[in-house]
Amino acid sequence: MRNKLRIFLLAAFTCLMLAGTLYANEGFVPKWNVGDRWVLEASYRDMRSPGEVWMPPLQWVFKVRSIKQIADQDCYVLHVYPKNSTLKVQAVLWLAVADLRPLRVIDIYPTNEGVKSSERDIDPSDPQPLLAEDTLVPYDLPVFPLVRASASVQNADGFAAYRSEPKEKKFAKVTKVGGLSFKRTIGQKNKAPEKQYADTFAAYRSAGASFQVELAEPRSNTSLIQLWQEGSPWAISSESVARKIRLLPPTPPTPLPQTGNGGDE
Amino acid sequence: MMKKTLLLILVVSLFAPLAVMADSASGEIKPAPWSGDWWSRKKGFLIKGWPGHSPSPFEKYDAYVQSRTGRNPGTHAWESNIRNGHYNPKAENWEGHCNGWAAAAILTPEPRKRHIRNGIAFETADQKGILSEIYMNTYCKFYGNRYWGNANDDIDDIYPDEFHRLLSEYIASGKSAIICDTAYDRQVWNFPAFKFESSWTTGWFDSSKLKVKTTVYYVDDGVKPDFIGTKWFSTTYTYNLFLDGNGNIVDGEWTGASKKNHPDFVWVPTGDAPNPNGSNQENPCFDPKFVKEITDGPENRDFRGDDAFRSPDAVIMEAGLDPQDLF
Repeated sequence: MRNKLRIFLLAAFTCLMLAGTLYANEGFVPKWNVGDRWVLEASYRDMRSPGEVWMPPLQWVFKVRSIKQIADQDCYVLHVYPKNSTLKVQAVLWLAVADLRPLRVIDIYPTNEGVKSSERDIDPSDPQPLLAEDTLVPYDLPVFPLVRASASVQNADGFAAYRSEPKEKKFAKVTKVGGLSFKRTIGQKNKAPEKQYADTFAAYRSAGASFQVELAEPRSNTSLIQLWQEGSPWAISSESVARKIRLLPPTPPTPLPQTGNGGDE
Repeated sequence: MMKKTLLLILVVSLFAPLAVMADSASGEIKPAPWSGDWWSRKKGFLIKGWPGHSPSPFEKYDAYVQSRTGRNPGTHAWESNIRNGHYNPKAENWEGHCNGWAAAAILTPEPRKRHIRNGIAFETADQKGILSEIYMNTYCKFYGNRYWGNANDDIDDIYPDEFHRLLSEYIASGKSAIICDTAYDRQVWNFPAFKFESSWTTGWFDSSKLKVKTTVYYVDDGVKPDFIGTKWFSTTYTYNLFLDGNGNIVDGEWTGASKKNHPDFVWVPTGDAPNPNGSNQENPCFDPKFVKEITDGPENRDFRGDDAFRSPDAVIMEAGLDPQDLF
């Protein structure tokens, strides 16, 4: 009798684990290949000026340079650099192939003594959105996979997604600097894109699902809204009070002069 | 007697963890940003020069670019035009190029030597003046919200927990100086902060709050145009930082005199930027390429070089990283 109970519990546990895995695999995680490259155009608001003054846009090249292992996980090594090469700001991100979870971030920045870099490792067991807080490089990423709240509540009229309020997931982000630790709480909400963003998708329309992701921090009363589209390598749009970013639609390749070291800008 | 001693030890050991705990932190950016004139709009030194200094910085720049390209770029003419708002004898006494100077002082090495380019002598003051102009627009990270005096503006912003994090994140880690608008109200006074000393205690029997006293050292711009080095002033702020059950800082409040004397916002410049559409914040006749030729390199140079292509990997190597290892 005791053995039967053990077998039953083991079977139940296995079923639960499998169900969990299947659910996790259901969501959307962008997939890349080494050599993939895309360009984001970012506009930054001059927050010091009265009214809405936006700086001339910058274009950022995102290039998957390799796949390497950290902490037994395969990671994309993503190199982000400005097309305008006079700006000496870059980033190198190690993102897990499985779910784009950030494991390592290197920020490269200018100083009056030349260019410097800072590196931070991120605990892979504590998934949290990656926010470009202290850099110009727009590498903000939500926690993947993205799952449309509408999938489980889609009703006959098809508009249930717009009526149901999706649940917000809270992530504690603890930064340890100068002997102190600072905690912030970031909320992530995934939902079907609101109608006002319909035009944004026009240039990227593919067969896949689309997602609206809101990353918000209660105390700062600013939030970042990203639009993701299956088939696109990165968020096709990303907006906050201080930044507007869009993924440039892919263009047919044109022959470029050889540079000999992987750079193409 | 023995009993009393034991009792005292017991009481101390029981309550010691709850009593006052003290700690401190500090940081300094070396080399510090440089002091420089803030180039008053009213005085117009950039286009008129000053006693003992003629021709002016912008006349020299125009002459240099003409020697390189055969064409006068017109920086002097543009700056002199009162309609462009950069030089105006009727301007307010405080109007000038302080934000351009502050950004240049963080992003560029101090011009400490005369540079002769194609026979034109650019003194340190000329170089600082030109740099202060071209960094009037920058791409930057911005923290806090500027106080405009509107009904929904929060005069306590920037909050002290965010301010303390920025001091630690940028200055204690040696990353960069940060620029603070030191006036908590509608006025704007931009100064680079390059050093801080901070100490704190918990309250008696209260480990949920840190009472902090922080002295911040700012680079001063109240100097003559040919000043070399860093002149500084300091301001001491007091504030409380509130902790959650795990000792994480989750909130903060300015205290004492700092309620009405704290930074309004913080920004960290990361690179030169052109004018936004419809703006003339910066003299558009400057070309950063020629400014770099003037301010970088050896003391004496006849510039004939072509523009070299710089790949993204060259910047990685400049940061001391090896692309072969990274990728």
